[in-house]
Amino acid sequence: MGQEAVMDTRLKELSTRFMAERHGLMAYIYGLVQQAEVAEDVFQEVWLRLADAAGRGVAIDHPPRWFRGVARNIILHHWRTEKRARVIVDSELLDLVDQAFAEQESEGGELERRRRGLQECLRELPAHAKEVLRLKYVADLTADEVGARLSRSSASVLMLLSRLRRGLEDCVNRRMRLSGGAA
Amino acid sequence: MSDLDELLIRWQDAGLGLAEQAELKRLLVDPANRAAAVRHLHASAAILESLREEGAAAATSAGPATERLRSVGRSIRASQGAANAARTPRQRSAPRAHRARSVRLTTLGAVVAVVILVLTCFGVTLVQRTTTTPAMPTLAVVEASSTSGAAGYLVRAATDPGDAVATRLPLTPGTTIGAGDRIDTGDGDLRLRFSNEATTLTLATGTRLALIELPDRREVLLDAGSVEAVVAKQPAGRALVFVTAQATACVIGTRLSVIAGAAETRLAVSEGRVRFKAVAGGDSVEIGANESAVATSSGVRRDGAQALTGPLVPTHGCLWGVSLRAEATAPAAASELEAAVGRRMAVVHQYQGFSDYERERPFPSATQRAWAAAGRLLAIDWKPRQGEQQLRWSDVAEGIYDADCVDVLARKAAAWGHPFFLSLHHDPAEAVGPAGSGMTVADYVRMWHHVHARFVAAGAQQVVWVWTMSSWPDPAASWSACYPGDDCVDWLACTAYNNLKPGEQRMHWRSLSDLVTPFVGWAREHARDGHGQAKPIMLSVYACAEDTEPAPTKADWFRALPAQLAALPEIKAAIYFHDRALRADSTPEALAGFRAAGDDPFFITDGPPPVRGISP
Repeated sequence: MGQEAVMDTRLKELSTRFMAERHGLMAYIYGLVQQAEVAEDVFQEVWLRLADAAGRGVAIDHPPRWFRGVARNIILHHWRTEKRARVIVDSELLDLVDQAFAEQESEGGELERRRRGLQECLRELPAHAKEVLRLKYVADLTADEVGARLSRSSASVLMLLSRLRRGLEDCVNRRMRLSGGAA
Repeated sequence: MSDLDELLIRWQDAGLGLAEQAELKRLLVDPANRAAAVRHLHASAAILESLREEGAAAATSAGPATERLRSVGRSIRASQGAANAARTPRQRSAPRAHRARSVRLTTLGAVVAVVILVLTCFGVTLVQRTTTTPAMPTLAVVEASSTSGAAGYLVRAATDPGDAVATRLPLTPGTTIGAGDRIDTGDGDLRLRFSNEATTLTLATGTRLALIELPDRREVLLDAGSVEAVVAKQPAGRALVFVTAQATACVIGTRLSVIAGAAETRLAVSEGRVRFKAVAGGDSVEIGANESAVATSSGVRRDGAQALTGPLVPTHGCLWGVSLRAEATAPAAASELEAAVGRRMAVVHQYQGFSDYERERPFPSATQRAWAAAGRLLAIDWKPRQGEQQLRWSDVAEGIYDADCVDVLARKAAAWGHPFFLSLHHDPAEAVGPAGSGMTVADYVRMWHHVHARFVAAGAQQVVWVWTMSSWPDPAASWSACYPGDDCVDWLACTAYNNLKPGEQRMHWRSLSDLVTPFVGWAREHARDGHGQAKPIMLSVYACAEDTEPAPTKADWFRALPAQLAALPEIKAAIYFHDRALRADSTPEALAGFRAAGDDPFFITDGPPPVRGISP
């Protein structure tokens, strides 16, 4: 097989793997930067670097770890350059997050089922509950800012978010049990 | 909700205080909590995606996360399709042998811009650098062709990656060439002139190429045929690169350096040719690549043989150098010690991390340029770390840090063009980890190979690679196991510390010869240059702690250096670790000894003319 064809095949393989891992990678990125737009930019930048590395024939032995490693590097630079960036943490905590994701790589199937279950549970939420989540996650508002919109204190917003997340988790666990998956 | 979930919610809301971060870390030590944390973060991303999919997103500048994910998928498929679409039908169907046949690239050393330079003895008129405008849609224009009518054709790729249709245009004088356009001269030949600079390319019959514009360079992708180029001087930070199936050639125009002193002007040319004319008398010489000359009130003369050959190896004696703290950013940091010892240092060494040169951080810094302009050689020990955090060798080897660090420094080094010593993670034995840690000896060697290859690919051919180990053998990381190979190492180096921890068995008073002889013996047997000769060795770094007995003293230790090093002819450079308690001037007596050693003509202290270099 010519060198060009090898490169194309390699890129296709890595692209396929990238798409398969995209939800986990986005969870990692979004979990660290906590801003949807920044997370998407980082996500796309990882893809661009993957394409470049594949084109250069770089040996990537462990794609998910490579994706997270590149994302981490981009995020670190983002924190260093963006003074208003949130969620800046020390390297020890970052290492623990890395370790956590690495340990869960084999649980991709269950995490995907939980993700689909969560989507169904979200559809069942009342409108006012979805609004709180939308303000927090889609609009990227802090608890203070959400509270200002809803005339609540930030503490009560955080408590509400906790209850909503717990409710969603319980819903997902029920669905998992009903479908025979682990909860 | 668990404490963990509440901490995670607060962490991702507005951050955590130190105490809360400590609590979160304590919780994450438990594997079950780590699994729960991953589920929590997955759920956060899924909530974002789901709400956007429902169309309940707030107005933001970015599209829905899912749409973005889908667009990435489209981009993946489109880039693969575009690569095929951009090829001409002939290229798609041509046998591999036809596309990969060897090309004649007649340029570079044969035809380079010729600069006529007239200099005065007491001033310098430097060649004004042209500046290119930011990338323009039109990269070049067809200036002339040998045939009447069209000489060949141009294939312009479709702008929409999803559209496979490309446009085919005839090439006539005045045809503009844009980025990505593919040219086929067919039976004619033609000349292109780049937009906004005087560079011209003459393409012979049967030549196929494309022009690519990148932030730091313009690339001529030469698929087949012959190109003669007259290259205008490229602005700092940019290069013209010819890329073929077998090679890349980086052209930056004529390269020279000029140093004007009170009594003489020195010129060194790295590429191209320069006519060098003295004001007094009017005689002139034409200086070619890797040549230098001096003009004084008596006239102009060519320099004698370079003091340095090959990868900065002195033909005699030993380079005398000093290691300064990374925080030493002022040019005076080197000259202060030089003033104290009465001689200039030929080499200035610093320890740096990957993050010190990442992205937009300059290399060389203004201080480093000043050191180099004064004739000192730079030696950088470049450690894969970001701040205080060690980066895994396996991650570096897999290219994770290419975009932000490795390729960045490589491009900057190539653009600067000045030779300098570069060591990658000195004394790696102290960081070696168990299997699976990403920090094994094998990972170290892979990292070295990868970084070296990236520098070569970037055109930083002038970098002199220094492999640095401890002079104390470590069974966990033997010299043999850690050695990357003769083809990617120019110098070998070892650290050597005397009396660092008085009283400990490992560290007690030893002469420099005793400290380094085992390493030198190993190097003699295992490291050879292309001529089968032993590779040069650098002491990087060496130091002596204070004496604890009446004799021998630190000053005595210094005074013995010239004779001891003369007996070890492979050692061609000695860099002293001038920091903290090990400073050469830790006591007046020690400084006197260090100064006496430096006075010995065995040590080369006057910075020679650069072998290759550009004006700082």
